[in-house]
Formats: sequence, structure tokens, C-alpha cells
Amino acid sequence: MDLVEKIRKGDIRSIGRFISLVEKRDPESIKAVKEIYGSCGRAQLVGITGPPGVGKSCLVAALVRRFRQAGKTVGVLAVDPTSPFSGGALLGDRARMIDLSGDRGVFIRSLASRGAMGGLSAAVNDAADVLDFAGKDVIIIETVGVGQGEIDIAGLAHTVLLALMPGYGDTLQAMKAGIMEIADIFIINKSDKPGADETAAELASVQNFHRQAGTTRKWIIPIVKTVALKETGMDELVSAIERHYAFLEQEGLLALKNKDRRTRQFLDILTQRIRSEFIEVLKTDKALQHWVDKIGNLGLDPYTASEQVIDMIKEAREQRRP
Amino acid sequence: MTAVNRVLVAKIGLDGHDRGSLIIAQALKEAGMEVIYTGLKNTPEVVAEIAIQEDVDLIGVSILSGAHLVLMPYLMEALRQNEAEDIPVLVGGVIPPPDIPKLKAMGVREVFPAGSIVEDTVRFIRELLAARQGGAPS
Repeated sequence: MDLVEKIRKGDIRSIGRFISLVEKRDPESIKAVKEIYGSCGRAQLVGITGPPGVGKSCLVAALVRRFRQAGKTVGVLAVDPTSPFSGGALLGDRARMIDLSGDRGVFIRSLASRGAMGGLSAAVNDAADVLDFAGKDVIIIETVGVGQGEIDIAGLAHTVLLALMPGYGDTLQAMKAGIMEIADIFIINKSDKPGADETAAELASVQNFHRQAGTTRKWIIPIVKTVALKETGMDELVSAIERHYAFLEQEGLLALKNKDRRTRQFLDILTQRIRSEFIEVLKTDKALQHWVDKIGNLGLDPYTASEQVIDMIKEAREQRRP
Repeated sequence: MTAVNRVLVAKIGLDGHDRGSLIIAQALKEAGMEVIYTGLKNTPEVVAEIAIQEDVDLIGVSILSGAHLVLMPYLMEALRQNEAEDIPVLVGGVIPPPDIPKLKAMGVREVFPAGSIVEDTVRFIRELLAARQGGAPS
């Protein structure tokens, strides 16, 4: 039985193996992704991001428990940063999800960002697809949220949760520019600590400012106060997630989001492929090496060089037309 | 591109000592590996399940409670039942010398008792994984 068949049947070892292959960008995995691509799109994707230490993993654990109680199967992709110095990573998110490990309806996978240009690697996209194909109803993707990761997850998930905690005032200021664009739901975790109401009020005021400025936004971002360790506020959070998903469906935005995700995925893969293809050809093509050397010696500027390559592709495309 | 190694650092049973496992985890990260850390108080079956979901190249178990002879057979059996006995298993912690051959007889690849040097442990793991990559199919 081949890998795809085993995954369809829910074999855990095969799913784990497949995700590893996808991380290595192994040709066998890409073949398999091509096979399953058309059957994807069933699962509900929830992204959770936010600064380190706010309790994302605990929130994920609590959310998984709720989804399981509702009879849904869940996949979790927990992404942590790869050290730019050592190339290694400490993937400790699942340490917060110990009690979920015995449950066959939950598949948890830890991934290192592996120095991806964005915070999320292309592998996370493929890993989400394989969990979707394996029949998971909900897939939760957790990222670190210290920059690009937040943006990338917005392009992948249907609903983006931004987790903060009381007293994150200064960071809030710095993040304001990005928050409104990315989050669908704000969470104030550890809300039993002092300052929770103030942080909630600040978030609400930022929203009001945007509404006054005339930015039309039909979805009003709920601010949910939680204490993940005590499971406080979790019902409210789940209900907000379901409301947002229903909103997307009603407004016809779900299909749009899915399309955007796939277009973005294609462009990312295309860029990567062209780049690695070029580097590969460069290894043995003397004429090309000479040409690239000119760029290195300031004899040819990179803009003109890129235009020359694009022109070549356009010419080739013209020649293909009947 | 050399493949990145994924290593599971696991704590099994009622054992609250995590300093050693965290030091090893940090050292392996510095050596360029991706380390999945289970957290405390897992059952052997859960550790096997994690190893399979995470598709790890190696399992390092830390036991400082003295319960290694009782607990390790369950892990080795759980791996066998899931057809994952090809994943090498190492044990570190408070292991009396007479128990080392007993653990190896269960299928444990190597034991690192109290007093083991971190650098030596990391080197052993690096060499074991390199050999595995060169020989066995992924």
C-alpha cells in the first residue's frame, strides 16, 4: 500500500513520515502532495500567534479539548523558530499538551521554521494539507508571532487568533500597525493577572479608531479574556471561532480566502523553484557563470540581468502560442 | 543539503527532575538538531506515540527515579507494536552499572549514567545519526 493510501486510512506513522519528507522537500513527498491536492479543502484552519510566553500552547491544548468534546478530530502544527546560529531548535510546545497525547483523534506535530524567509515554511502549508486529507476536522497552527510568522499565518488560516496578556502595553503599541490587519479574534490570556481590563480597553479603542477613520470592516473583532490553565473563557473563545467561520461562509469570504492561500502558495513555490533551478544550472554552465560574474564585478546590474531572464521566458512563451 | 535530525527527549514516569534533560536538549539544539521535548510525567505508550507522530530519528529517555528497569520494557514494547523498533533508544539518568547490560538486552542502544559528559553524549548521538543516514533508508 502506498504512502497516500496509508494516510487516507489514517495511519499515524505514515502521516508522521510524510510530514518529515515534506519538510525535507523530498521529491517523493512532492509527488504525494500533487496526488492529494485536489482532495483538500475540508478542514477548518485556525491560526494562533502572539509574543512568546503569553500561553499559546496552553490555549491550543484547551481549544483541542473543547473541539474533541464537540466530536471533532484535530491536527496541531506547532512551529518554533530555528536558531540562526546553530541551525537547531527546541520544540517544546507539545510539552504543554501532554494529556492530549493518548487521544487518537488528535495529531500533534512540532515543526522548526528552518530559516524560512517567512516565519512559516512551505512545509507547513503541505503539512496542513496532509492533515486535511487524513480527515482532521480542525487544524490548529501555532506560530511564534515575532514578525513575519504573523503575516504568513494570516495567509494560511481561516481564523487568526492573536494572543496577548495583561501588561503587554508597550508591545501592543509596537504591534498596532499589524494587529488590525491580521487578527480575527484577540485573546487576553492570563487574564487573572492585573491589567487585563486595561489591555482589553486599549484593544477596543484601537478598533474604534479604525472604525471612525472610515475603514469598513464587517467583522467586529471580539476580545476574549481567558485563563487557559483554568479553562476560563474557553467557551467564549470557541464560540467566537465558530461565529467567525460562519461569517466567512455567509459572506462568501471562505472561498476567497482559500483561493488567496493557494495563489500565494503557488507564487512562493514558483519563486523558490526558479531560484533553485537557476542555482543548479549555474553550477555547470560556464557561460552563465561568466554572466553572473559580471553582476558580481559591477559590470551588469541585477535589475537588467533579471529583466533579461524574464524577457527570455516571455519569448519562450510567445513561441509556444499556436 | 544535509538532513536535519529530529531527536525526542522524553521523561517517563513519576520523575520531576528535568534539569538533566533540559541541558541535553539545549546541547543538542546547539549541535544543530531539532529537539522535541515531551515535558514531565509521560507514560511509555505516550512517548512511543509522540515518537511516531514526530517521526524522530532517535529517542533519548531521561529517568532519575530509579524506575528504568520497570518502565523501559513498556516503551520498547510500545515501539515494537507500532512497528517503530527501528528508532534507536538511549537512556540517561540515575542508572546503576549492573543495570546497563539489562537495559541493552531490552534493545536500548546505549546508556548514559550519572556523571556522563554532555559533550560525549552529544558526539555519540551525532555519530549514531550520521551512520544511520548513510546506511539505512530514511
